[in-house]
Amino acid sequence: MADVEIRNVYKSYGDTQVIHGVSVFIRDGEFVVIVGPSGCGKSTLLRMIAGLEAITSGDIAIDGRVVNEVEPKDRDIAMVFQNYALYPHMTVAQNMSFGLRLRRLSKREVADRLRRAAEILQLSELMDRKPRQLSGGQRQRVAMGRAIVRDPAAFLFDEPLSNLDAKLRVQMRLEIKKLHRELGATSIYVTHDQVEAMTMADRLIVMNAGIAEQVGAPLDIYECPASAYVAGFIGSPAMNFLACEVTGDGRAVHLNGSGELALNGNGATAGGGVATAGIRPEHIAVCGGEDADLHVTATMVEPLGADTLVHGALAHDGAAAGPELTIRLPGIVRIQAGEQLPLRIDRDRIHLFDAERGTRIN
Amino acid sequence: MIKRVTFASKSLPYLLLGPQLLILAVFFFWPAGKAIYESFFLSDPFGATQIFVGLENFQMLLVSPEYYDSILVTLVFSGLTTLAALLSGFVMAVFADRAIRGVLVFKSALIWPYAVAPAVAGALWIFLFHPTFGSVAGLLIALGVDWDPLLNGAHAMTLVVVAAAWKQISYNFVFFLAGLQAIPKSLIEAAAIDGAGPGKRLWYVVIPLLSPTTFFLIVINIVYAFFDTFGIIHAVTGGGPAGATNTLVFKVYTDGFENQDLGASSAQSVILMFIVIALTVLQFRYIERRVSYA
Ligand SMILES: Nc1ncnc2c1ncn2[C@@H]1O[C@H](COP(=O)(O)OP(=O)(O)OP(=O)(O)O)[C@@H](O)[C@H]1O
Ligand SMILES: [Mg+2]
Repeated sequence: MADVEIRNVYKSYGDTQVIHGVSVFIRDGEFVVIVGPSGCGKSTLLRMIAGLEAITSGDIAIDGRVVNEVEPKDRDIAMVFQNYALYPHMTVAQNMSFGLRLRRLSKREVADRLRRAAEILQLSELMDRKPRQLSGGQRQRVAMGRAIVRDPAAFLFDEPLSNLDAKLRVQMRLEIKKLHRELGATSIYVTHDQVEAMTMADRLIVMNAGIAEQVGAPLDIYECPASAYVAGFIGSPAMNFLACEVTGDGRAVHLNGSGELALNGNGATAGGGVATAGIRPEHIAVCGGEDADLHVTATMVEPLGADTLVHGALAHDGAAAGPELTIRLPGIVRIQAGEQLPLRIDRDRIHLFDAERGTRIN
Repeated sequence: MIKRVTFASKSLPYLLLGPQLLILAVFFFWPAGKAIYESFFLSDPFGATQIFVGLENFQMLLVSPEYYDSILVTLVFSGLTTLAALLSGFVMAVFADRAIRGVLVFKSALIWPYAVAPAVAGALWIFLFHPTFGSVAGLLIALGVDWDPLLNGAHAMTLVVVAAAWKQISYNFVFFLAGLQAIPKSLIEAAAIDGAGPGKRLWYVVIPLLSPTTFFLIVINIVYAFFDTFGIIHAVTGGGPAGATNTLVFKVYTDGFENQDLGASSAQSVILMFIVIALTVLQFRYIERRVSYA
């Protein structure tokens, strides 16, 4: 077990820089999820930690030792690949024990560790099969097994669940979390699935185009996103963004056609001027006409059972004209497309972002 | 489902197949049939008289020490040629696979030998290794090696093996390189993380995964060394010295055309024909069941 420190790491392929200075300290035993859209450099960062990509500048230290020049095999890490990367010519048992045999562990030790891992992952029946005789979920387990028998200082995962179907993904997600609780090993997990990110992470690294935009606990990031980018990426359905005008004292905003909305306790850092207001779909409610901040005309309704998503266009002088808005209402609500809805916004939960730079300003 | 093509006219398929069948008949079935026929006769050098002798030609062969010598020479020659061509092709492919960037130049440079005719390849090697005017031979002699492939059987064997293998390296290289590039990169990376250095990755992961390619190439190279090296041997050593490089195929030629013993020569061709058929069957059965590690 070990901590992992990433200090001001840059990565370039030829002339193109893809990681622009990332610094994170990952504590011993922590489960950290790196999340971000495709191509933002998640895999590249992980592969630099694994030693599969050279670091252009900066340092990566595992357990206090800078490993920039250390071979992958000497970094004491294990990695689970997206396509599992099982050795096709070896049985499950051989796949899992390969690393141990290379490290010249005694036969008994190898057998012991294999048995324990097989029990934890319910692989005991499959030990003599070849990978091609396994289902996707079973292959995934073998890949996990190959990592845990090694008892490494840190586990690295690169989108290990993205080849599984939705149900299996939920199940494996829970299993990996459980495993982490039992083994307590430092884990770094890459995904572009924000549900995985929110549910699995002790701490989240939200990446955007080669930089770590925000690092923090999932709920902290949800409640207080550092930028419009993070706010839009974390949370589903995505946050609504509306242009707004901040009052001179910074204590209230005017939304598109609304009256003055007081920002209870989380006023803007600077008064006056235009900004972007971010409002999560779950922080908007349907209300009586006299309390309404805004009116929308419903354009589409998605009843999900547990809650109902309403997509609407902001009404302006009675006609649907303004920007789109998504609203999440608890339970089953019977609304028809075309209906006009008076809406009230939760004033405690309005996020304000700089209109140009997207940084948080309240 | 296999799609069946239906022809409106009954004669069209025969017309389409005609040229191919004609070529096969003229250049394969006819000479092959003739060889089988001849192998049962004793003919005088001018083909004027023929006496039916049944299996005597074969019996003669099987008690002839020269024939066994030739079998041994062929086995040694094919074994060494296959080994040398496979190993060199493999090593080059591994290097090329590492230095992917230069691969295009490398690949085209290495494919050239394959386009060189056997006799030309032979002449090239003769020029390099001829004891009196060969440049490499001069170097060897200067280094104190008593190099003389015209008199020393082992030297002659070395020379034809090198010349024959050289021609085959490019072919093996291309197949090995394709095989190497088909191995998913993540497997190699997984092995690296599991604790295998470059050598162990090669031994435990790459070579096992290449085994279908390797097996295919072994068969191809053996067939090549057996049957396609006449030109090289003819140009380099002419089967000598003292039969040291007289392979089975070369012996068919010397017995038939130089010693004018058509019956013995035909009997040898018939035996070779069965060897080719056996190797071809092996190859086809194998390719059909080609293991895929997908
Ligand atoms: N070998 C390479 N040569 C050049 N550019 C590369 C190379 N590998 C990755 N890149 C670039 O680096 C950027 C980050 O790639 P990376 O694979 O880390 O993305 P990712 O966040 O893992 O995306 P995904 O979710 O699609 O896996 C991309 O723009 C990609 O094009
Ligand atoms: Mg990736």
